[in-house]
Amino acid sequence: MNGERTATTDEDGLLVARYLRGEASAFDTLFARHQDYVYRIIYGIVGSAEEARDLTQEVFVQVFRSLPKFRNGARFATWLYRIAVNRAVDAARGSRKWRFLPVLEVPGLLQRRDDADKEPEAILMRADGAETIQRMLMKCPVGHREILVLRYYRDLTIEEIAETLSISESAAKVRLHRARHVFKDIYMAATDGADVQDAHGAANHVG
Amino acid sequence: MSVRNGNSLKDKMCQTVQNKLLDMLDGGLRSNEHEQVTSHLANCSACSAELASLLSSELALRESMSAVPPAGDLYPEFLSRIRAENAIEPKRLPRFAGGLAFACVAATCWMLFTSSQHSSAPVHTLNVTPGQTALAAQPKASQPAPERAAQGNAMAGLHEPQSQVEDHMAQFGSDRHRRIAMVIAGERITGNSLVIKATVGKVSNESGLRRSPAATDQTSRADTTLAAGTVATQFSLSEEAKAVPEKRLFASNSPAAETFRLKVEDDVRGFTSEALSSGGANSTLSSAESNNTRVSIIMDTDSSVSGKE
Repeated sequence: MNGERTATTDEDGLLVARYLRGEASAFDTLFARHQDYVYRIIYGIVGSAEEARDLTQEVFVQVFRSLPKFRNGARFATWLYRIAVNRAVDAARGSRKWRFLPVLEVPGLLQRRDDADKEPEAILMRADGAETIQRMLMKCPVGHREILVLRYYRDLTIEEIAETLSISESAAKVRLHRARHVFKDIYMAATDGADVQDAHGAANHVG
Repeated sequence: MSVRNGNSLKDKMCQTVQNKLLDMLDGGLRSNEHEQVTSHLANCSACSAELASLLSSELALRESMSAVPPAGDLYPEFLSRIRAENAIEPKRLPRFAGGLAFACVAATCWMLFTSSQHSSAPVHTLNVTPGQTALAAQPKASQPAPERAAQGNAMAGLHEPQSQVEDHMAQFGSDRHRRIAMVIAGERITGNSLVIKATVGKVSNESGLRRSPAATDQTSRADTTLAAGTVATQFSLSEEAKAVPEKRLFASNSPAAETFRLKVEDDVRGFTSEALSSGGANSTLSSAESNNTRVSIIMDTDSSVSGKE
């Protein structure tokens, strides 16, 4: 666990302790600290901003209700993300048909954006790219989606992913590997390798 | 033959290397493994291409993360939901602890859609704003909770006795009948289903309304958390209704032990639907509404209820 996240975890623990001592404002802070992370995790799994907002609120309501029973403040984030993932997975599995999932048609994906951040058009392009990637993510089985969002949306380590999903580290590693390969296949099929030339250069550096 | 063997060996080597590519990207290879992989990559276009594909897809995934549309401020709606639930779960509020038995009516009620033959019982619909609770045979609806968020620490208000809850519970003070209170926590359309989440609580106040100002500890709050139930009522559209998905609904069967009907009226989407569970119980009625949907619960067996409409 990196230093930044360790500090965050410690701070969460303090906030939880303060809240359990009756300092109600500590929950406000916990909410503000984690709202975006929870939302992104859920969004990555369900793929709908509207549903992600709704589910994020549900998650925090559940956390608010359950926090008095929560005894390990140092693991607050893991506990919170577990609730979020479970809610999102339930919602994703509950949908008979994903109504926001269109037929995968991916026109030229992921233009290089080295100098693009300053332009409004570039921002739109980035958003389009993100939506396109999200559509690809939605093609992955939900069990792969959940582990991919924890890895890439929250940058969790294998250890943290395992704890969040209540699985062993080896199981987490195997599932993450599979998920990355599945996503890669979907990505390559959709882009027809259009963006890989750039990656070739990067691959040489890695090698 | 030797060429075939050579190809087979190469394929095995490629497989070995490709199995290690993700570990290499993660920096998880030992130095000798890293050397073996890089040396193979230098001479194998297929494995290089595989590495490039993995890199490309991972970069895209990572980049897309930073472009997820922002959630906006979810806190006000969160507060509304908490207040709405508190309005019918007073034991979560310390001052009510010990005086009231607040039990869950049904952990889950999946109700069976019925036709109008079940609609003989009166439906008493109170005008309640979203997040509020209404009670049968109680002509006085709860008053909106004060907007505490605007007064500084918003969460603090949720842990103090609220006038809304106080008024609400005071209505039980001299009544020995059980009541059902319900509040809609949320609704949304998912696929072809309308999902209404409502919290339903059974209130038994045989001991009357007692306040326990000293019971402000978190433990009592935790205990009362167990006493409340959230009902997720999901209406699935029938096959027939698919063509006009907002006109007709039916609901799944309910394992709930008590009899009540659930009436759903949706002004915006233009439907009215009733559902029936099986069993028997004292009668009471509750209704609540959200922005678009009004839901009434009708308990059938107690003649003392004088709901009308």
